[in-house]
Amino acid sequence: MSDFHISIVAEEITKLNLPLIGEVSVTNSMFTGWIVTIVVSLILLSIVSTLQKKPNWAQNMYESIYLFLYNTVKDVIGVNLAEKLLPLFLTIFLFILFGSWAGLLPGVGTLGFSQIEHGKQVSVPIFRAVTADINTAIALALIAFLVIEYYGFKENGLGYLKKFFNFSSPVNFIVGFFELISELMRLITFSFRLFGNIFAGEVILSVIMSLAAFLVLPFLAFEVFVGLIQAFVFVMLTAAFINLAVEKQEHH
Amino acid sequence: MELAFALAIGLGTIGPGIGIGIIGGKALEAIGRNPEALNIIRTNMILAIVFCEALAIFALLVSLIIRFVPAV
Repeated sequence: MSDFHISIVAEEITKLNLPLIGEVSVTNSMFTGWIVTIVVSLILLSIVSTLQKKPNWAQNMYESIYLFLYNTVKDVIGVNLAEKLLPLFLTIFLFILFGSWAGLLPGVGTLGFSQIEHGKQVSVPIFRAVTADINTAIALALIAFLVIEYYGFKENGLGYLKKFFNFSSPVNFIVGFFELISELMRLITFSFRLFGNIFAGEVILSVIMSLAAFLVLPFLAFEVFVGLIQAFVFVMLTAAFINLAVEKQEHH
Repeated sequence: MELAFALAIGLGTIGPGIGIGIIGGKALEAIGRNPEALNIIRTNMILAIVFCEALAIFALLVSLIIRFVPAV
């Protein structure tokens, strides 16, 4: 029935022997991640190294991304924090954006080698969208989570814990307990939002390809849009939660 | 089991779908009334959508567990 290949986990393509750490398996989304990181870094370095007063089109494009992100983040967390945290936001944004778009390139997910697994011949793709791997999404979510908590403690000191453990009255205790739960659930929702959207996009594309291949173009355009929205939402949310964390805790 | 997997995500997205629709509609109404407050409204709208969407993500999680984690 199904002639298309969908795997929810990233497949291992090779094993690396590293000193000190030992054997590390390299998955296809990791491999794509390295390529995307190197390519995007090289492009950005070449743009930044030739900055001019009169920008050419590449510099113009980069500046518009930069300014768009700066203005959006500035409205949420204020000028001081925005200037300090913009490198992080820009990195996360570009990584998620190009990591998701990498999955739409021809050859990604289709180019592969065949392998015998459980007595059956399966094809293992060499490339896979970077963010269509739950490990990437969880890693990004952990980075965002740690930054949020770091700024919470930095602005409020140990008083930040009062948000979660408040024994002044039973109601405040319950409220603090729910705050703690929702704080931890953020990790799950952050990572699964990104992973779910991008992975669902890949599944939709392969299903449409096997059902009605001529209809695939609008869905492809939609996936470009989804990648952009997810990158933007991730940055927006990190900024909004940092804003919630650095707020002064009022005393009850 | 396949049906459970489909039902979990299918029924689970009804609620958040309605919720996100209401949030988006109300946010547009608010922007129509007060276009200067666009940035504040957009930020708060995305925050509210995210809390709503979290429920759909839990449904997705449950359906993935049903589908991919073998029953003990």
